[in-house]
Amino acid sequence: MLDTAPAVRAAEGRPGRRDPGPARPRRHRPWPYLLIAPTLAVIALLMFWPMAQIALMSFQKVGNRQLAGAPAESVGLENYRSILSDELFWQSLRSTVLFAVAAVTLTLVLGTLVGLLLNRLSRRMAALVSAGVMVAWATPPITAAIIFTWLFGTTGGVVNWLLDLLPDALVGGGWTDYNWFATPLRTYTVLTVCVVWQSFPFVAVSVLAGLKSLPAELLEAARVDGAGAWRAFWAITFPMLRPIFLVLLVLSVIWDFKVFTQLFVMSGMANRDAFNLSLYAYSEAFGGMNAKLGLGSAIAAVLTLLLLAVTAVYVRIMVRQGEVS
Amino acid sequence: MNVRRSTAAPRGTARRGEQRGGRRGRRGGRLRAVGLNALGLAVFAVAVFPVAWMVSTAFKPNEEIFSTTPRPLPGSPTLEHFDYVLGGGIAEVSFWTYLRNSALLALTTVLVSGVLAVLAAIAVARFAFRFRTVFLVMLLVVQMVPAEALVLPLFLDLRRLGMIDSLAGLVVVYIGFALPFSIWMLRGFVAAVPRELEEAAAIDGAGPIRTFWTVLLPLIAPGLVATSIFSFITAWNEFIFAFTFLDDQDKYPLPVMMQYFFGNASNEWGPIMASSTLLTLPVIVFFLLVQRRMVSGLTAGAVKG
Amino acid sequence: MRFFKFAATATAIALAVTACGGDGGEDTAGGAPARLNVWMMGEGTPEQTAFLDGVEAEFRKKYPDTDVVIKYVPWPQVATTFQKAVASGEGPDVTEIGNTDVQSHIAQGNLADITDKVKGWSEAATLNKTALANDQADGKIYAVPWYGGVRGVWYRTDWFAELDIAPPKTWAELVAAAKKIQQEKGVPGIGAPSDQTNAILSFIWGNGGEVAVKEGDRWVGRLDQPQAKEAIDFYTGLVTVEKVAPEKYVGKNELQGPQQDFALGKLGMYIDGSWALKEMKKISDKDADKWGVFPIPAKNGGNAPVMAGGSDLAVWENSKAKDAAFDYITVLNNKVNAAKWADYSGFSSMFTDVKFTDPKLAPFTEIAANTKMVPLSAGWGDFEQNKKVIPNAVKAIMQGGSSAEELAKANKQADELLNP
Repeated sequence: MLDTAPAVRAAEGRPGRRDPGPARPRRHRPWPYLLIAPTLAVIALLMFWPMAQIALMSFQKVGNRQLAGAPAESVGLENYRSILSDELFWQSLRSTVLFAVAAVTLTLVLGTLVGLLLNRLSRRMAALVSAGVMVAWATPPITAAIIFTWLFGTTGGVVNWLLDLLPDALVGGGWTDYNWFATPLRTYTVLTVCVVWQSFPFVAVSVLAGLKSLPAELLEAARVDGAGAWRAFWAITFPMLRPIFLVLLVLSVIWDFKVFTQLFVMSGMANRDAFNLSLYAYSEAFGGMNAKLGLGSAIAAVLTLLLLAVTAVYVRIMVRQGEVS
Repeated sequence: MNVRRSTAAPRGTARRGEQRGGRRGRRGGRLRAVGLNALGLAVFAVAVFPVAWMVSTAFKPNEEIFSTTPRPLPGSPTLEHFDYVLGGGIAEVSFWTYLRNSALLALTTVLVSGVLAVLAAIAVARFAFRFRTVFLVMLLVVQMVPAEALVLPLFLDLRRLGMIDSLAGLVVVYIGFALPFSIWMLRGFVAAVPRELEEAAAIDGAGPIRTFWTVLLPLIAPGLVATSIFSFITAWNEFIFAFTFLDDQDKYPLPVMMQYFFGNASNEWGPIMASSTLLTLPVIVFFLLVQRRMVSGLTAGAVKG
Repeated sequence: MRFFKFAATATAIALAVTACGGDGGEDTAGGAPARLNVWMMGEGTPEQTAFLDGVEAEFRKKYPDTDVVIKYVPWPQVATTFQKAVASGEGPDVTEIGNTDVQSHIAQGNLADITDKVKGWSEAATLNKTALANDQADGKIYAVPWYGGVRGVWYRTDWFAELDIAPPKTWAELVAAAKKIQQEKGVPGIGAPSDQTNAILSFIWGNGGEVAVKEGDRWVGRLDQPQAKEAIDFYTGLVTVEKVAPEKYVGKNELQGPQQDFALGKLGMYIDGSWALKEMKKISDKDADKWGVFPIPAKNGGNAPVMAGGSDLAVWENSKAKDAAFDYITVLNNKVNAAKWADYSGFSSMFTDVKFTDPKLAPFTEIAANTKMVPLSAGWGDFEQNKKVIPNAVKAIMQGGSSAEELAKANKQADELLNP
């Protein structure tokens, strides 16, 4: 689930109030099963069956001959052996993880700060700022990637121009022709800015919703006690909103782990050194004239397993909060 | 699939803030308010700047776009880039074709996943059945599966079914991705409708179907609007599946067109920004709309409970 | 986008091979058919349609009762369309074919043997020999080259005149010219983006090197050989050693910076095709009259061979009207129409004596006289477009990697990818 509202509601501390739930046991009527049947069919066909196929294909050779109708050949662990011994796999994995750590941290910190700010602003100001924040959130990934490529470009790029205007003592000189996509570190810097820009609004709005649910008296009391904003946050706000932060953390990790579109547009295939796992899997799988779907599946399987591990944490949180009862 | 969504929304934002401000000393309060407002404006600027820059670039003539001293607003605004995009089309296909494809994909996704989601939401919110918990957990897990991985097997499956390079095949996939979230969100809205209302209708002699149309549906309408908009955005923004599955340029939706255009004409920033603007604006409008809806929908749900 | 489409091509070819039975087409060659099906690749434009209308009018002087039906096949659908044509027997009479696909079409028996017809066509004498060689198998001719895109070095004629530089004929002169521009004009001398396989190939070939050569039925990588290494060292050295090419194009292609910078007068030279003229004018036509082109030099003088992407024309084996089909080709690609087409499309005619009207583009005709084909392996698309082997190696070297190591790696990939 991609919504923190239940967590917000849970934080309101009135668990019994919500979800009157499936009271009245109406027994073994076919109704509920009929109602979920189409959904089950869709999910089974589009989610579970493909996942099973990924698992299966990761042990097979699926190339052009198989695409043309020949039966798949089993190759045992060959695909996994091949990716694990590929330097590029480890590099992609490292990039994926490091990027996720950086982007998630920045997203959460910035989002929380903005959420706290929104909570303190006057009604009109808050409306204005949240509308602005929505704009960043709404921008489709493909446009975001194109815009940031343009902002960080060399001719007509506004970022280099600004950096060049700043005093050299501060940022150094020679920014005009700075190539932001030359090395993985630089590419990922731009990618991080882009992704954080798109994702902090979600965190901000969720944190704000959580703050609204807190009894104002608590914070007021803390202030009367002379606690600064910093202490009040850690002593009261954070513990009260812990469930929301947990959910936000897990969701952010999952999203930032599999970024594809933005990186694909920004650096693409000519910069293999900047691959992440998604791009690596895609490039191996749809290998031009020589598709290697088996190999791609092995990488996809690794990616999926990593994400499922995170998902397990998430499901546990949700179950504990009584969201799936 | 990467739409970051929340049903959580600021409600009653201001009242509390005002109360709080009121209790403090006058001058300190005002100073603080100025500081906070300045910060707020800074956040606003950072959030809006990239999109504003895109729109502004779309209206600049080429000399200004490539100028060594960029200016925030177009000095002599021009519509030539929009003319180019809307008139000539991209890769010999009219912009309206891409737009139609995107709209078709998004609307079909909304419609089908909406219907299926209502059915399933009623099941989980109104009935006790054996695998209910399993079903709910499944909905959670399924939303976390990386689309970037599923694209491989789905490509093969649709290829076998001869549904590759067709919008129909793509829609099926989008429904799969929009559905779990829609159900999850809608079930709250269904649960919030007092059961007594339905029972009253039943006593009046209405069958389950009439009860649904006359009682339940009108009450969950705000929720349905909200989920619809999120499904719409999911399909509208989706890139990787459309990019992988479609060969025929006539069938490209806007994001794939953008990527194609960007890859083949990396220099034409004016037209690129113009078409980006056309792709982005509907989503932004919808987002700002949904913001309101979500607030009313949520507060309504909260009051009933 | 492009890279992915190769998957479709591959499968289509694989399918076509299995589907391709005997042709069974009865050749009723002589007479005038009621209808002549012509397939053109690409989406078609109003200008192209107007051009083809003119061709048809001319053709119908000889075949007044024949209706010429043009069908545009967008490039992404080319493979599947041909595949269906083979399977169903409903093919074209005349078709345009991408020059890298000609050999596989010949191998599948899709194209008619037009050896005698070409020999009887007087204008064929000045067809580009390399391109024509690509249309032959076992001494027979199956297609004729139509147009091609070749690259040269764009430069500023006014700067060259002012600084007294002659168009470079060797690598050393190229570097010297770039240095002079850089010193005197305060802009980078030349653009050397890492993601421009076709331009890099000219340096390798211009030094007698190869990407791969065919030994028996296997392609064997040659990127680790001294000629290739020296060429790559030179190209990357423009950035790292001579410092006449800016670092800002590393990881990019010619469209992601060099083209616009050159058009804006912020770059001394860069490598691109004739079609770039239209694009650059769109960016800024202030200095358009001062742009010129010279051929990419080989190391020790002369023009380096250039990769020619392009299209050929062929008669479909199953056509019932092969004579009329070939006659159509001779009208479509007579020298008058060839010149018109070159002007409209921005691509060089494959006649060595058909020039662009715009004198600025004239050098491209000379350049097109010395073309070379990339290894005609089914894996080339993978090597070039998807894995971008050369661009990635070049990038690594530009960023301080050892060229011996990177090229050894690239060569290993060539060995693998070119033998799918």
